[in-house]
Amino acid sequence: MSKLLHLYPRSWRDRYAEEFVALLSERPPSLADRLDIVRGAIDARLQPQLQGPDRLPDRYGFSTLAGFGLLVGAALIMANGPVRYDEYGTYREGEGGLVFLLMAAVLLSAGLYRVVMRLPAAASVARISGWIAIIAGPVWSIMPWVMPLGVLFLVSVMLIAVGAGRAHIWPAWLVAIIILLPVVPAGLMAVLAFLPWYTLRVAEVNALILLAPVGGLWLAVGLGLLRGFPRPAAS
Amino acid sequence: MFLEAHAGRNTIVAVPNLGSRARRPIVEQSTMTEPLHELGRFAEPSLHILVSLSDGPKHGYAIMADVEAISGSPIGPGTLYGALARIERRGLIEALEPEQRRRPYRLTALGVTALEGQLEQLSSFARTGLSRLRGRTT
Repeated sequence: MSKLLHLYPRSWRDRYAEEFVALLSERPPSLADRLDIVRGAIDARLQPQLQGPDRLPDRYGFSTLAGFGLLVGAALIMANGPVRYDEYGTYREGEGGLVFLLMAAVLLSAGLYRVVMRLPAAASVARISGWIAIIAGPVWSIMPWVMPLGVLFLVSVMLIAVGAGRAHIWPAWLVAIIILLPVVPAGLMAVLAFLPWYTLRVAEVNALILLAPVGGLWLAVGLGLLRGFPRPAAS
Repeated sequence: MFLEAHAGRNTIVAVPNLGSRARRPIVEQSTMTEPLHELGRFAEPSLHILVSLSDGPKHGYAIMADVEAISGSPIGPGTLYGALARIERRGLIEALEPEQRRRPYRLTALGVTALEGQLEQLSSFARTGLSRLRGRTT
């Protein structure tokens, strides 16, 4: 039962967990009750008024998480594209996945926009980086072979995370995740930027594995939005 | 706010306005019911909880048992606490000091007023419906 309780937000548990457990000890939950508890936990995470006085969740996080699904779809389409041949060898035609990749990037940019708009005016570096990331992400998604653009995007996202951490919008662990996720991909892209363009094709599988952590950004930003922003002080 | 009767399970409940403006004159809107009308699927359980607390403070399990007795339908723990949290935040009920691990709740003055307004509206609505039924020519 304690596992079900952990589905609820911490602020909810702080307030109701003890009496909730007391209730369940008096009336052992049926299957229907357990489903009702799960439903209640989802509701508690979605409803700002149940989140305690400190944070307002942003439901747009679900759209950002959906962007992760589009990203996975794009990767699957690209990985299963038709095989082509040219003077540099064989490769898979990935154009079919670009639309999904673009949509995923737009959803991530929209999520980043929600964060940037909550950054204080004093966080000018993070705000400027935010706008760079918001634009660079979708542009990079339609020409993912332009490695400097990818590096710019990833570094900008890292700077947003730092700004959000300093403004107490995101906790340190989330900031650390968002900074660490793109480190290897950004480094790899930075190296590839100075190598011939077909290098990525030659080392396709290994490079794609190294680039995969970028996908974690959709999850981290989405969860960060759902976790919520500090509630504005009452006027 | 508009009130609709639900014949199922022998209850009459308040639900958010789903109809057109033309239906509004049947029951006048009351500010006393404002805290409940925006609760969506929690409107009915919230009303049941308020009625349950109308004869004195109760803790969660006692509310569940009482609601099942007066409405004929059980209320799940997740729904119970979803509704409790909402009406507590709206100031209709307040939590008392815990007794061991169980925390009783009681109606606030605002909760009493809101419940009275809600029940009077339901009563008026029921009277209107019944008088129309009795006056209907077959």
